[in-house]
Amino acid sequence: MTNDCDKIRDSFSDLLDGLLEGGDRDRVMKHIADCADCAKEWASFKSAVGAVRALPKSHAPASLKDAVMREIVAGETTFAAAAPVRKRIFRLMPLPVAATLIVALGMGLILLQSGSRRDAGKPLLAMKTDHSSDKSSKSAAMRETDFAAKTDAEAAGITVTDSVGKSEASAVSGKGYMAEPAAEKLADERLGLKVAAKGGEITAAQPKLAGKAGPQPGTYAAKGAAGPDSLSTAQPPPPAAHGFQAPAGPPSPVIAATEAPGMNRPTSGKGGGAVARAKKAAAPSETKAKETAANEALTWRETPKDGEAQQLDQAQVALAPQQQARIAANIADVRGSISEIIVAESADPSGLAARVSRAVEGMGGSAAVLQGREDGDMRVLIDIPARQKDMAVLATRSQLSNFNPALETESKGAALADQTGETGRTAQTIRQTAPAARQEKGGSRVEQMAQNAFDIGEDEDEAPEGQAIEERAAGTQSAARDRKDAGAAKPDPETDVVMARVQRLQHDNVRNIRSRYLANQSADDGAEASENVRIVVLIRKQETVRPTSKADDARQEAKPETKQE
Amino acid sequence: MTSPEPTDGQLLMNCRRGDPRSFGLLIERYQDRIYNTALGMLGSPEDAADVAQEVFIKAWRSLAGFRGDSSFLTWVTRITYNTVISHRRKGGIQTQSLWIEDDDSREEKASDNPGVDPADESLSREAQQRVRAAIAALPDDARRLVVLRDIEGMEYEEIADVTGLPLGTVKSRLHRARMQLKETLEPYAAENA
Repeated sequence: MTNDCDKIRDSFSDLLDGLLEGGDRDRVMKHIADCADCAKEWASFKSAVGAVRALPKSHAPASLKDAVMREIVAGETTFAAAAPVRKRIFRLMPLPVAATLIVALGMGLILLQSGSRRDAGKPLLAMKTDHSSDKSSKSAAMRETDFAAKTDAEAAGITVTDSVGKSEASAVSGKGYMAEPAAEKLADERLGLKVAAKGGEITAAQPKLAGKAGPQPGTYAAKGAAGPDSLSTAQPPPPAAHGFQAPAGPPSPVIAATEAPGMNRPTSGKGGGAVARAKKAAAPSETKAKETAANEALTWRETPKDGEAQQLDQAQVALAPQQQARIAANIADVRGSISEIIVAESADPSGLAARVSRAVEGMGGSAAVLQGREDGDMRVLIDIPARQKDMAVLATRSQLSNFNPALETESKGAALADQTGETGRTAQTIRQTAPAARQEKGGSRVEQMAQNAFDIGEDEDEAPEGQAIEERAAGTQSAARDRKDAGAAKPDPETDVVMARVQRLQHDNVRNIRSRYLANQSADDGAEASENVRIVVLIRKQETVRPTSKADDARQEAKPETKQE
Repeated sequence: MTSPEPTDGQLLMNCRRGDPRSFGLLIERYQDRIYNTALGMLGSPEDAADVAQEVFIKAWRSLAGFRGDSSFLTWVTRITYNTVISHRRKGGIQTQSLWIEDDDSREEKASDNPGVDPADESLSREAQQRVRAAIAALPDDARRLVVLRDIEGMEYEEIADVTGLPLGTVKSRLHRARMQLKETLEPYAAENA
């Protein structure tokens, strides 16, 4: 066999499939005619392929079509047009609008999910406000957004980053804006979720439908929270009489938002988990009968039992507007410009929120510190000029990553001790100089100072005021240490060193950020004020105090066995 | 006077309007092709039926996403190809049985195969068994290409479209697969000769 034979045999497929033309084909055919081996190979090759091609065709089982149609008609599968509706909508939209809608939908899912875990309509406690009625709508978003939304956000396609620290916090970052007057109107009319700013305080109206027939909105929220799969295969309402309902045309964004999570859709088979979650998350309704009816409605059945049909229909009718209105309300609440959502955990959410607030206000922004829905949770709404946004985020994250309540208390104690020590030293100095001053007649001012010094420490056997302060400071430090020790599994002297360093870095960060802000402000003097953006910081109460998380992280990284290859 | 058969495009348009009967017609039109493709790739009639059912359901779900860049058949064949791969990955199909049809048979004779001697088209059941065994012995990716080209008769460009492979890769892999088939079937061919 020659090299030519190899090349010829490599072209057998082309020859068989008629892909060789003209001279190439002639050359191959001539070689086959002249070479007995290749002729034999060619015959064998042609025979083998011919045998494959000669295999009889099989018919599909007669039941195949029926099975598919049954599956489709039974509503177990998604209507064909549902998913592409979303695509068509977004294709027709400018990119920013489409992106906005996607994020709004994601936020809606997040908010829905949060509603399933928290009591609906719990009023907010306004500690500070930013004196802007427009900003009040942001509080609704904060009210609804949940820490557990991280998973949901991922499911909804929102980037989730761990920007604050491995053990201390996680962050959900998303960008999006939604202004939908129709949705807002719908929310107002249906749910009363309108948020009003009165007298500088942010208040949230109770949902108008709360306590009415049917389960709490959270019941449906859990069902509405669906992953990207569900989003991409949006489901229509149950078909009447098991028929098909094609959307008459591309739905409005609001309708798309209400349809997308597939909340009006009975879930069965593989989707049963959502129903189970919905049931599990359902808040107690007024009566058990209503709850049962609502749950039944969630698991809509093709053939309800006699006598139940009307009840189920009523429950469904009652549910659907609430679900739709809730999403619409969420979209409306998110209107404005939430530029960033940062989620964190802390043993002392109030302290951390206050620090974040101070840091932001020091940069020229305003911050509203609000109570979270869970006891101890806090939320900070930051409103800051767009040009300062990055620095505000940096400052916020710096606070989130460095704040430690135990160290904070200890630090205050230390500062107090320093202050009182300074007072004591000053008094001592005056005390020492006073006798000399007394000798200088005419030194009335110095004499007065000396007298004052003696008034402070007239009797060294008695504890002067400065000393009392010192003792209180020492007590504070001790209490702080106790608190820290209580939270730590094993006291570690290394912790104090690391945390002190963290504290210094934190102060340096803030100082640097403030300097940059001032520099920018000087440069921008006279320029037109930029648009404000909003940052929401959600701080969850941490169950267990972990005062040494940074130090733990540092030690963890130092361990050779935990190093990532 | 009978009305002409609706085209795939007309049926698809009706489907998009929410008419499931039109989709039923599309199923009737292509179910044998899809079933055969799945059967050739999987080797098990039961699995092939399951996959064919899943393919049409998937097609219905994403029908409005079908842009018409390729033919409907190519599109559902692509779904079939991907579904078969997905089944294999999930381990849903553990074995490859040699498919042998019943006597009352859902088989029909292949015909109109270009480049193949008509005398070869009549295969005994034993020969069919051997050929199918040879196909089943191919590596998965090679077998899929043989099925698409030599059983379903798709063009190389269509195969490239279905598989997502470059045209040259399709050609070279298919040729290797055919050579392997030749090696496997050569002894039987010699016996028959």
